[in-house]
Amino acid sequence: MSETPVKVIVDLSKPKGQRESIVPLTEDEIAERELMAQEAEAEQAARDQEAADLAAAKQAAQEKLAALGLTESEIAAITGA
Amino acid sequence: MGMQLIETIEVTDTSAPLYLEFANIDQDGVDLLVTLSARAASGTPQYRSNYLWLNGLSSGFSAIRLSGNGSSTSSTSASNSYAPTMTGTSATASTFANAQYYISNYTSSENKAIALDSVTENNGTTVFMLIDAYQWANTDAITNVKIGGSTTFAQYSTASLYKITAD
Repeated sequence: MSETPVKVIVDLSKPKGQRESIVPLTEDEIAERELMAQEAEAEQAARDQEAADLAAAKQAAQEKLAALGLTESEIAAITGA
Repeated sequence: MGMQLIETIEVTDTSAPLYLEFANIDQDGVDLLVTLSARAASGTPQYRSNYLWLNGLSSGFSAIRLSGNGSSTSSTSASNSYAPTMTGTSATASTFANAQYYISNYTSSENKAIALDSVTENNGTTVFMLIDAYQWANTDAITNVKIGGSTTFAQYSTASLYKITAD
């Protein structure tokens, strides 16, 4: 494992067998990556929250159906849960 | 229509790259197909994400996504090319996500349409499946494709570039 971030480049203008090289990221790429890491973290958090909200809504809906007198199998029959 | 493998990148045990890049792509095809078989080398989630760069740009993308994660489904929009196309280290050992980017009319002077079909793999409930429809708002012919950015690729991850031809 390398300490310096690297990328694999295949330069298709070169003959086969001479195309692939492993090069360090440029400063611009490293800076861009840091921004992207923040964006990725925010998107992951949003996705996790979305999943948690959906699960909570599902649970609340099932509890309301149960309060109306539906059995577990009847709830499962209409919700697919 | 013909389909021709142009080149494959396979990650070795020592390289641990963040990005896999195809440069100076010939302009003699109609469409491009990029296939990705990917596993993260680090990080604990069960799936990780990658960006797609075209001609060195990660901007200009807009997308509609249909997805499922093992417990729910959703339809969302996005303004970037960020997509879970990589199995994470918490997923079952030796499993690799598979993804396909189909880039239509890559030499044209119009905005580009791109389809992404991906599934991360896991012998368990949590797995991310998606179909994305992208527009890349850029009229330049595509000469460079780069994928990566979330974390380093594990050994045996591969990316292949295919050219779709008219004959």
